[in-house]
Amino acid sequence: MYGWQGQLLRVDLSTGKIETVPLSERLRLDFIGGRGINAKILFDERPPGTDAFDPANCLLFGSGPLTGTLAPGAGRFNVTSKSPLGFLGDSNSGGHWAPALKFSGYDHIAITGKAEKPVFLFIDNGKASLLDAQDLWGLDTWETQRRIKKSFKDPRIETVCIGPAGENLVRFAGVRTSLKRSAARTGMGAVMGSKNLKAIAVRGNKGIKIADPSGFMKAVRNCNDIFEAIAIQRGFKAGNFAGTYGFLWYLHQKNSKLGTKHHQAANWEDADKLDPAFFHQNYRTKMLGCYSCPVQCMPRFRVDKGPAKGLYGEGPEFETIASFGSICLNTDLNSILKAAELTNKLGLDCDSTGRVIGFAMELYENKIIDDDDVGFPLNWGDSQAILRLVELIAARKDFGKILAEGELRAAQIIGGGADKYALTIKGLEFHESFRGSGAGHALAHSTSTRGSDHLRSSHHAEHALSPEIARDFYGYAEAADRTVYDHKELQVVYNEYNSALADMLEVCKFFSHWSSPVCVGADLFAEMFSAATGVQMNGKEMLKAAERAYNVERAFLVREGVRREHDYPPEREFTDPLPPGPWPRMPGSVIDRQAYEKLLTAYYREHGWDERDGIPKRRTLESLNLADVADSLDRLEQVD
Amino acid sequence: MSKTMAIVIDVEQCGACHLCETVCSLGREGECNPVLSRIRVRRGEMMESVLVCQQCEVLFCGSVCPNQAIRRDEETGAILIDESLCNGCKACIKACPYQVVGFHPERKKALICDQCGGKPLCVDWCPRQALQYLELTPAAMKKKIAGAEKAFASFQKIGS
Repeated sequence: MYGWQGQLLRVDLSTGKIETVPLSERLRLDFIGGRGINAKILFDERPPGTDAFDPANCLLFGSGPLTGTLAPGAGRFNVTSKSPLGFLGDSNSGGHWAPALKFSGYDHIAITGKAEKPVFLFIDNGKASLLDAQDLWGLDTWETQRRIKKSFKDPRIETVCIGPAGENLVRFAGVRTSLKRSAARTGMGAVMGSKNLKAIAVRGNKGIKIADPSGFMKAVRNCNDIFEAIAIQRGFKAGNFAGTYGFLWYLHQKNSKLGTKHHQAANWEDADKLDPAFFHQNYRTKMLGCYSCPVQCMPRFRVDKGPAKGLYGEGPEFETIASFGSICLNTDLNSILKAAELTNKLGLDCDSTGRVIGFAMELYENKIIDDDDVGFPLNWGDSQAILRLVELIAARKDFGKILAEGELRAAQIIGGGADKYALTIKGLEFHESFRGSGAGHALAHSTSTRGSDHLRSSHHAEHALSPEIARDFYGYAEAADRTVYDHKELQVVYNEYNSALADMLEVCKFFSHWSSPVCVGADLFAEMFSAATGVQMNGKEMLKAAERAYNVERAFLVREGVRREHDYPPEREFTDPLPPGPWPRMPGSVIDRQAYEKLLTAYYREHGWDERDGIPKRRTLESLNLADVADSLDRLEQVD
Repeated sequence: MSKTMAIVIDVEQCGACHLCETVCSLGREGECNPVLSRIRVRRGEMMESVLVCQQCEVLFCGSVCPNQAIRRDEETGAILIDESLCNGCKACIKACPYQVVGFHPERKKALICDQCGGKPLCVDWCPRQALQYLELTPAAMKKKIAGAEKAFASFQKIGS
């Protein structure tokens, strides 16, 4: 077989049964790989309504048909399950683990059950076994990986693992590989922990066959050349600056999307105090790439002097700086790097962690919680309090026990009106404020299948495009105007499919239209896919597959109870104006409720879903070869 | 007139993306598989390295080959294996001071970088300046030796 290895590994942790089965033709051709195949297996095999921590819940790891090949940034994987925070759990990571999984002989791993004692899964060149992990339990993610490499005396073993946060079922615990690569969002690390699965280590020498090597090399080269020019122009090509932190920090500030003071504001007057130039000049030692990446946007750093002397690692990404910086009004870079190290080692999602702490700071400011609840003062910008809370959350100790539940559940436990300050969408911590940043933005985040998130769709049009380019690409110049609601469903839906396609091929979204219409579109992805796999598909057919996967995800949500009410921004976005500032704003700097309602209905219609609740219609599902999914929804009497 | 050429390594520039390994195995063996690559990348914590045949002045690999399958191309300086003569005894693998002679597990033949006949794919695809294909002037020779020593030192620290 070309591209795919064609094998799915099934592991039942309760019985210890391990089985290799072929990756079916339907899964490969209809769902391509990665996120798409994960979504279908989850929909088909997890009993509806099962709790995230129930042993019957499935946990899926998936690579794509281009993973491990030359394709740009194609070293990625998705982890998918029921989320302990909300509904669909799905997270994507780069690094080097996914190619090693492919070289071990597998594309996907489907895990069910719960091991009696801590175990780790080892796949050694096609042979999988469950090994005792009692010695590893309790170790951080860095030490876990070191021990596994050492025990097999092989530095080439690649490992994904959880840290203490996942073991302790922190609802936003993530999965880590190497020093910082993370599938962190939506709590997939907690699901791993609930199954007593500490790690998955892989190695192998099973190559990936390519149907048309010279055609493939040509197609990849074409994509790399297009993208390299953009990367250089935008300043995130290796060596130019400091990765996402370097090129997004001021861009977000200027675009009114820098989450500030737990999203009470969208710009920060102290942004200069975390100028990425300082990090770049003083701490950054090198830039690194994920597998097969021509751009290489990840910094490595080491602090050689000052109070943080000895701190080292990879990253930080923009999101980490925002989470522990602007969200908490913390201007101390050293403490942010320390918080990043803690989240990496303990295995936490830095996005949710920073926001949960910002949430607590807001409650403290409003006197809903006090020193007795927290155990210490919790004022905005208190860097030491932030670090203490990160550790308490991972350990589920003291006040950390409450915050480990995530904002939504923590607010219910705390009471006293705390729910007003809990900013989540589908249970997932809020990611960006829309009051400054745009109507399409609001729709994209609020309807995202995994909850508040910028990676399910895209909103580059509202921030990066001229009206002329917007007209050429989306067919209407207003696509570039953040204050316009009409027709924004078109760009949101288009980018949902582009994002899904990147996740199904497991290539980095930076290369795709998610990033910008001048990047690599579905046609060029189709060229690479067809040359690699020998399966002839054009761009339109690839986007159809992405639409199919998106519908399966929506059907999953519907089956779990998601309705219209779950597709809204947090209430504050409708009611509380942003503080004044020099940056662009939505009119009145709130989301217009009536206009949003209309937009949401148009969005459902664009998808072919019912206009009240966004339930996929049978004829939509059938046109996507998903009659089985329609049948499943029918059984719940929910399809019209 | 042909020139003596060499692949010169600068580990400081290597981002450990494995593109060189991947394109080498795809271009030369038809599949993406680091094991079949004639160039090697290793990653450790806070460290990575890349190594490829250094065309040693003393031909260690060739001198131990019982079948005289390995020779130096006098014109380009590239090391060439005559696969029809290679019996897969792995003596060259043990003799290589940089530990960069590979082995094809199915064909049972040694794998040594031959510079792709003058257009090395790895250099062509390296997105940084970690690999350069240079004419071996005295200055380039100095750079090559310094680069290889550094790369090999990291290689040994990481382990292979």
